[in-house]
Amino acid sequence: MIDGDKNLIEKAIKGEASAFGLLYDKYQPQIYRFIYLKVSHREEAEDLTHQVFLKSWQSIDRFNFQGFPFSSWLYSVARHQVIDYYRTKKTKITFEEIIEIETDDDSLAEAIDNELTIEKVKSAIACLGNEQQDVIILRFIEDLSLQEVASILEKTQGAVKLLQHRAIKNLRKAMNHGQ
Amino acid sequence: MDNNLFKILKELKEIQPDADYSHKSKTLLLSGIGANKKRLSLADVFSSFYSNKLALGIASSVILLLIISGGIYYVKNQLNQNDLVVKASETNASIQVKLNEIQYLLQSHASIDANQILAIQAMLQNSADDLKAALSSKPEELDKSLQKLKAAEEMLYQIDELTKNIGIIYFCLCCLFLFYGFFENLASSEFRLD
Repeated sequence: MIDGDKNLIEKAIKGEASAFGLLYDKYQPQIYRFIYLKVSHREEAEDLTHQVFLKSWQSIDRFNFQGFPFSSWLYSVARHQVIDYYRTKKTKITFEEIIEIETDDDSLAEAIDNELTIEKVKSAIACLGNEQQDVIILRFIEDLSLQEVASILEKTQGAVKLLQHRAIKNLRKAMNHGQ
Repeated sequence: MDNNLFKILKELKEIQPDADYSHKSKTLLLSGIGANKKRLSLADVFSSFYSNKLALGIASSVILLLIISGGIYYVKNQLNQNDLVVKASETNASIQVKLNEIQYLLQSHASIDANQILAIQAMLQNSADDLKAALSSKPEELDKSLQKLKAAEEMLYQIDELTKNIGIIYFCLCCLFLFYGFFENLASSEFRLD
């Protein structure tokens, strides 16, 4: 845990809005990215990210300094938020649906790289199971350690390694399917 | 293929939220935080003066003492009032019994002395005055009312003693009816404390 973060978190727990604002500035982009890659829809990702930070503020006094960074806790909140989202919205998303969503969203295309390959990777990630998505995003996009990912997913490191192996395999398969 | 895949995955890190959205979201969150700021409690006020948990203890003790003393005062006050009401009711019943007794005695005696009639008349008048005073007393002057009722009761005892020894018929009956009407008025309007 970075000392600066600890100081900010302690102030936020005491009710200092400005401290929480600084935490928001620091962690919001990566939480948004995590959610966006899982729901594949910009506006939904924005709403969910807002909800994650709102919930984080409301329950920040429950955050424990246990050696993991604050971001791990935020990822954990975000994960549950996305699970709830899929529970209420739709249970499963197909590759065809992803393509349709992507092509319908013009602003998305402007905001990110237009290369077709990147789009395919994003679509392929969206086709993976929830936990496999988490592993791909956290391990290979956000560069989190195996230990950190294990703590976020509430699994052992061995289980995460296995999950990671399957996730890469399925990602390749999904990309081939999209070609 | 694998290297290319991981390279593309790294490029996805470039995904950023819209700046306008981020600004709006943050403003909304922080304004909500300001609105939901915790309210000050008594312990907070104490703790601004004292840095340890003693403040909470003191605050709790003061509140507890206030509650207990307030409760005792209220209960005591209620008991006093209830006691007065019970006493007044007893006196009221006693007066009723005495009036019935006098009425019976008046009806059963045949002759009467003029001086005795005047004495009884004066005593009845005093009783009536006492009862009138008891009726006009304020609710908070319950003990004063009770004293007046007691005085009226005492007077009726004396009349009772007199009528046991003499024979009164017509005159005292008139006085009694007059007095009895007044007493009924008292019984219907008095002791509505609650």
